[in-house]
Amino acid sequence: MKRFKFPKIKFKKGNLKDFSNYILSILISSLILALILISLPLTERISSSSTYDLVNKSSMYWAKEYVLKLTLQDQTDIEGKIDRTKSILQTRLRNFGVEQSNISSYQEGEDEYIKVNVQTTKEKELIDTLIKSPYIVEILTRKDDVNYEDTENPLIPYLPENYNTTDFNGADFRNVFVTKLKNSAGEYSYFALFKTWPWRTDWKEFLEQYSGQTVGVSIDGFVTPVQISAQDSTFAVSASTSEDKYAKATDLLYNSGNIPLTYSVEKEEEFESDIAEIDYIKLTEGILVAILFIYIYLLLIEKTPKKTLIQSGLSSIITVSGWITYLKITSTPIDIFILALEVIAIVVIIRLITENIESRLNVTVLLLIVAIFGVLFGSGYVKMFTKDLIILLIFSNLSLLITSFYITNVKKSLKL
Amino acid sequence: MNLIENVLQNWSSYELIMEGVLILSILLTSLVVIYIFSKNRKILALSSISLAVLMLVIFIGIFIVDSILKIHVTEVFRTIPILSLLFILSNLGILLGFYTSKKKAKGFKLSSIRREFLKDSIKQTVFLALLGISTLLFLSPQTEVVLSISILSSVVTIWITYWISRYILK
Repeated sequence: MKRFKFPKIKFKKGNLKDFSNYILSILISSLILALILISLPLTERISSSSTYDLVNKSSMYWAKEYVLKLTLQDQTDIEGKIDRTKSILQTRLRNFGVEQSNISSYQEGEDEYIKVNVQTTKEKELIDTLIKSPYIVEILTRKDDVNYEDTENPLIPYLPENYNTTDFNGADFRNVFVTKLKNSAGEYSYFALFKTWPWRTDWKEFLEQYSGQTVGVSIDGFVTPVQISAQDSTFAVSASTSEDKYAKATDLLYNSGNIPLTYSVEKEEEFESDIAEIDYIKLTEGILVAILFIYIYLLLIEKTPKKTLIQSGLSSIITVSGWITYLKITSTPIDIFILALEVIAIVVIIRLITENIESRLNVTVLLLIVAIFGVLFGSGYVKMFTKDLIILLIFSNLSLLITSFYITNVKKSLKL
Repeated sequence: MNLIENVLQNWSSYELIMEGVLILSILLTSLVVIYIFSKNRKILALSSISLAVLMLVIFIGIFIVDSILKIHVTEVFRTIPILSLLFILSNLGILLGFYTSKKKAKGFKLSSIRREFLKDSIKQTVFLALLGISTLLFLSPQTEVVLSISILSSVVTIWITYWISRYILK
C-alpha cells in the first residue's frame, strides 16, 4: 500500500518573520486593551471575575501628637541636646517609613518640651515605641549580695537597683546588629549583637572578666539578663521577637543614635488625619480628558507630526495603564495624590523624549539620577515618589520601544 | 536669615542635613553627567546657572505660599524640588541631546542650539501649562499648590535659562 505523506510546509524566511510580527502585533493590541480595561476605575462593573480596584491609602492614615517632657541632668549645651534628640527621633521615624512627621521644641516656664506630630499608615504600636522610648542603654553587672533566683520575688533580675553600674553605655558601641539566632528553646528569634570598635580593649577585657557569667543590659530602666558566652566574644541580647517588623523597630532604636537626655510622655492625643481626599474616578477622567485636549492642541495648533503624537500617546497609555494595573494586581496601597503627580510627570517626560529621540539617553540618565538620589537620601513622600519613578522611567523607555515596533507593524499590515 | 528660618520652621539638624545632601547630590551629579556627555564648559555653565536659578525660584515660591498666602507648608511640599528638577533636567537633557547629535556636523555653531532650545522651551511650556491647568480642577488644594509651584518655577527657570543662554551660547 502506498504510504500517504503529508506535504511539508515550507515557510519562506521573509514570510515567517512577517507572520511572527503580525502575531506579535495582535498580542500587543490585546495587551494594551487588557491594560486599559484593568487600569480603569471600578473594573468590577465590566467583569464579575475581576474585582481589582486601587488600594487607596487615605483610609489607612492615623494622626497623633505626642508631647515629651525633657529631663536635663546638667544645664550645659541644652539647645544642642534638644536638637540631637529631635534628630534621633526624626531618624527613627523617617527610616521606618513614616509618611509625615514634624518635630518641634518649646519651653514652658522652666521646662523644656518636644512635640512630635505624626501622620502615617504604619502600625500605631510600633510608632508609639519609636517615639516614647529614649532607649538609653547601660551595661550592668550583678551584685554579690542579691539572690537572683528568689522565687518569691521574680522581678529581681529585671530591676536596675539590683545591679552595679559599669562605664559601658550605648555610646560605646559602633553598631548593634539585629539578626536571627537560635534561642535556648532551639527556635529562631531576633537577637541584638553589640559591636564595639576593634581597638576598644576595655570591652574585650570586660567580656573576658565576666566570661560564662550573667550580666545585665538596662534599656530605659528595664534590665535584660545576658549570659556572656564562654566560647566566643559575642554579646547577644534577646530582642524578644521573631517578627520582622518588631526587629526593624528594635534595629532603629539601637542604631539611630544615643539620646543625650531622658524624657517622659506628658501628653498624647489622636487627631483626625488631614489627608486630601481625591476622587480617583474623577481624577482619571480629568487626566484622560486633559491629555486628549493637549494632544489635539499639539496636532492642530503646534502642527506636531502625527507619528510623534501617536507614539507618545500610545507610550503614555501603556506606561500609565501598566503601572496602575501593577498596583491593582499586587494590591499595593498608594496615595492618590502621589499617583497623580507620577502620572503628570511621566506623561510630560514621555512626550519630550518621543519628540527629541536623540535626547532619550541624556534625559533618562539625568532623571534616573534624581530618582536614585531621592530613594537613597529622601524620606516620606519623596522616597515613595522617586522609588516609583525609577520603575516608571524604565517602563516608559520599554513602552517607547514596544510602540515603535507596534506602529511600524500595524502600518505594514494595514498597508498604510 | 529670617526668610530662611520662616520656611524651615524648627527643622532639626538631621532634616537640614538630609535635605541638603539630597539636593546637593542631585545637582552635583547631574552637572558631572552633563559635562561628561557634552565636554563643553559653556553648556556646563548654563546648566549650573539654570539649576541655581531653579533652587532660588522654588525657595521664593515656598516662602510666598507660607508667609503671604498663609498655606501651611507640609511634608508634601518636599516633592516640589524633585518635580521641578525632573522638568528642568529634562529640558536641559534635550538641549544636551541636540548638542551631542549636532556638534560634529559641518558648520555647526553653538548659537544654532539656541533656536532649537527656543522651540523646545515653547513646547514644554505649553505642555506643562496645559497639563497643569487642566488637572488642577481634579486635584486636592494641597496637591494643586505643589503642582502649581513646581510648574511655575520650572517655566520661570526655563525662560531665565533661555535669556541667559544668549550671553553664554555665543
